[in-house]
Amino acid sequence: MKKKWLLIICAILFFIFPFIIHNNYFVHIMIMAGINVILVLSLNLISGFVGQISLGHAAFFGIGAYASALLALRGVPVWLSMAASIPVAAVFGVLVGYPVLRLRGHFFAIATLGFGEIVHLVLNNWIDLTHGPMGLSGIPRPEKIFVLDFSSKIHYYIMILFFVIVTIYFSQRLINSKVGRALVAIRTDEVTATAMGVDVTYYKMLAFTWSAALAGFAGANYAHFVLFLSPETFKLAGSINILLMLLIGGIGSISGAVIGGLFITVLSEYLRAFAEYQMFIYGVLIVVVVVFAPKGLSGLIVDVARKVNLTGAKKDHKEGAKTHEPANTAD
Amino acid sequence: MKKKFVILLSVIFLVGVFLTGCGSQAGEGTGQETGQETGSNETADTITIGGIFPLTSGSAYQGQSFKRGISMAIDEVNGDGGVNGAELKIIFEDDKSIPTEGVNAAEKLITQDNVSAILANFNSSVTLAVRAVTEREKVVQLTPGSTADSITEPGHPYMFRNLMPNSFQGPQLAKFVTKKLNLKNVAIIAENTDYGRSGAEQYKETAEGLGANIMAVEYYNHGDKDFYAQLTKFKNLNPDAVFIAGLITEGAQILKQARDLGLETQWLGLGGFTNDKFAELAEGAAEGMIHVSYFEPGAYEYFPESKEFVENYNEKYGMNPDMYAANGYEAAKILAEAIRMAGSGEREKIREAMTQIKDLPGICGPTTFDENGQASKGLLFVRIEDGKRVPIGSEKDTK
Amino acid sequence: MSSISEFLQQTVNGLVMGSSYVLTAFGLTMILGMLDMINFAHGELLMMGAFVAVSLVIGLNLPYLVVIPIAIVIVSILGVIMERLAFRPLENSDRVNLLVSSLGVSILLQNGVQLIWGPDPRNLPSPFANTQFTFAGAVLSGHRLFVVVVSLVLIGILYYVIQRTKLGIAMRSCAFDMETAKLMGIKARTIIVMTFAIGSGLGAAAGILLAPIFSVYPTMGVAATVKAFVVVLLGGIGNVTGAIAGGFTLGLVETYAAGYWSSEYKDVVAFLIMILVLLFKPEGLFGKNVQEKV
Repeated sequence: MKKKWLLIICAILFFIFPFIIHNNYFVHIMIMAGINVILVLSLNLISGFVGQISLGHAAFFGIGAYASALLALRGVPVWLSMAASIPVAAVFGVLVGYPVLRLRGHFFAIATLGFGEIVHLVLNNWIDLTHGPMGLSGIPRPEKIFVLDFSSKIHYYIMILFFVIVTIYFSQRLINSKVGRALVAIRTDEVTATAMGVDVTYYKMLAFTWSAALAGFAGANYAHFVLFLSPETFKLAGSINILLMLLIGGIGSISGAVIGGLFITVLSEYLRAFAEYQMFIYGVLIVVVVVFAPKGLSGLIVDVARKVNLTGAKKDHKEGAKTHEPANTAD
Repeated sequence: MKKKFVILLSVIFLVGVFLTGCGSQAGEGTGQETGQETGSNETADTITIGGIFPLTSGSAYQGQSFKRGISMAIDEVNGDGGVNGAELKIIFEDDKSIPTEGVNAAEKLITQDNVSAILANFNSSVTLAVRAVTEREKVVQLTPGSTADSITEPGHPYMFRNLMPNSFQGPQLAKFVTKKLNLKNVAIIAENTDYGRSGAEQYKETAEGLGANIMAVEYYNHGDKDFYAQLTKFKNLNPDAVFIAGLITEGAQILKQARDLGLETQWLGLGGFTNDKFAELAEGAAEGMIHVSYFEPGAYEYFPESKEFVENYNEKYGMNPDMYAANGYEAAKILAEAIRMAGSGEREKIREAMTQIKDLPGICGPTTFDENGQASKGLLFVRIEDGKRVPIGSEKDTK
Repeated sequence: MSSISEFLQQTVNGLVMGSSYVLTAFGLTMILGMLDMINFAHGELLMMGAFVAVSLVIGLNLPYLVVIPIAIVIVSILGVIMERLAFRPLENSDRVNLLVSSLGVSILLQNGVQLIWGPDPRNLPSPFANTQFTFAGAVLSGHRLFVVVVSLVLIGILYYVIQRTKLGIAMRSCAFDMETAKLMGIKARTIIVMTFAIGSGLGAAAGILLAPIFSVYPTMGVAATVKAFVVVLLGGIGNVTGAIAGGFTLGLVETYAAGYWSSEYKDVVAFLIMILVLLFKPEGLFGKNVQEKV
């Protein structure tokens, strides 16, 4: 089983790199990237698997972050608060999803945009609960667990890496299950799916609720890592950023979501060297990537790999046929 | 299909390593060996400090002002032979007014560029987020721009600030307006941020304590452009004065739109209006406005140390310095002095030196940090006459 | 000032803002209807209009009235270039890629403008700033009256073009069904370019008209984009009549919410109404119910 080995080697590489490369900045960025990857994977559940583009995903990220931080600040153990962020965000997912999921396409996108802005405004204006624009400071770190006491970044890194792997595994399982097949059917053609007896509303709600719950959990990780929250992290610009990561990486595929989260996080740090020009370059790069790789980076890599495969050494027929699947299918 | 996934993961991993590898070559030396306590290499003859401000995005205007003031101060220090013979170097990073970006930038400066201390930030929420990083990494963070009260609350030994918090300017303005100008019926329009909110609330509390009547408090979001609804409400209330707790872009629009509505009143404002651009943006609608000022170019009787700075700044950039440039300049000079006293770029020694600074002369007044890292400065009240700010009093007049 | 004249004043305020929302939303709704794309860079056209106008007025000393048409034409050309470089290469790809591309364009325009002009806010002087009209206690400055008049004229012209001219019929048929329109001999590409030119020009017009009562700065278009989305959905996607009604509705709702309830939550009110309309009348307040194509 060659691929299984590769997967394990990959995980090990990610696991040991902070011990080899002693660079706290790099570790920090990888933690941020990890949080973003969880967030992008969560968006992928609804935007990738069901095909509904959400422009308000940062709202769930914020709800989870605030829920966990507020609980922890009231003395609830951090691990418990972080766990609580999942059902809290899920409840909001149900509340929002129920009405909004009846909408399609642009209507859904703009409705979620409106919902996201409402959450941001409430976080900003409900001073008694959230401290509003003054923000929440003094958020505690997670308690010691096994050898991890969270005094150093590596401990956070290991925690986030663990959660990323769990999320990837979860997404993979979901998409290969009955639920996943139902979701793909809905994405392909909702009417036909209904005709074939798929309970469209139920599966959409399921995907949206999981999506919200996971985003909330990413928020909890963010809150207990950065230790300060303020509403502007969770407004439209935040939602757009998550969506960009997913679309640049390659929507609808797990590898695309992972690549997008890593690539955009690392890229925006790399662009720091260009000072005032960085955002301009970022904008140009987005246009260039989308024009030349409309299937996202994962699609581009697969295309390139296929070309190399065809011109290179002879591959057996089965392998070749397999790679001909379009990149946008969930893999 | 898993194989594909694995290949992709490893590719992106390698790309990531490559990218950061390139990044670290740009920075100097190896941060991790000198470790967290030391800061810049002592044997080197440069000492590096960091500056994090919004250089792009909505607050870029203020961010660029800080950058100009700080760069000038660093040039001057190096022109005078540096600090203890070492050259002072500054690396600016952009926080885009986003807390997460500020945190990433601080992490880069501290562990990658191995800076000795940091000047940061402008937006209070970014400053507070970065404070968690500088505290963990034990690096001095001096903010020349954020006014949220909580920044210098007790228990944050690495946080310093060389301008007054909102809890100072709001009440001072309230006292001056209520007692000296005798304006009792006041309406407030405030930016819905920490800056605007706390300014408005502190004003309200003090003014009401002195018997004034706050007729209405309205809010707007940073970036709003239409204020006619709030101003129409005010026009109906007919207040003696309207207090704008905001910044110049929105402030100028409020004044222009109030003039459109025929709302005539005494305008009041916070220190954020200390900027030549403001009267120009308001196109004459700012005439007669009274606001707080932390720094006045040309008011040498109040800021006796500032003459050279104002002249040099004008020569270098062709404009008058605003409060951001002045505070940034002063902060860089304070940091340079702390490094001089510390005798090296060692982070912990710089922190000790900061606490020992006593009445250090500066362009905005002498600096001494209290036990929470808060410097005590004065303020002025100015009135806009013919597009120029004319000092009409200081905090001493509110007693 | 009595409460009746206050109400009148608030209504006037809402209508003035509403007229600019209509101008901004026109381009967005036409492009959304025709190409099925959400254009996040639309607000940046408004910002570009304002910046170009400022440079012409301050830099070349041209009078404001002369600058208006010149700046509109310049931004229209920019809109066409944008379509050519960022959107046309994606015409056969997934619709969501157009959204990503427009996000990229939005970021690069905002920051490009900051690199060229600097981040400082600017102002654009208007020749009508110092005249005032009073009617039953409500005040309207000369410039705001000018905004309303020019907006109404532009709205009228556009409405006529779309409803009565050959170009308008071609645009509507492309929006209705691009493939059939092509079969009928309509040069779809020309129509798309024309739509971008007209939409960008109107967006720019809104920016130029509002610049004297606003400040001009690189990020001023962000809020305008979001407002325009709300208007488009209130009116129904691709529906020009709906955009007119939606724009005025949003202007009034926002103003009344801020004037009579809470300025902190006025945007919440706007978004809530939008979501409610989406849920109960997804074709927009003024649209016809269209059967979904299968």
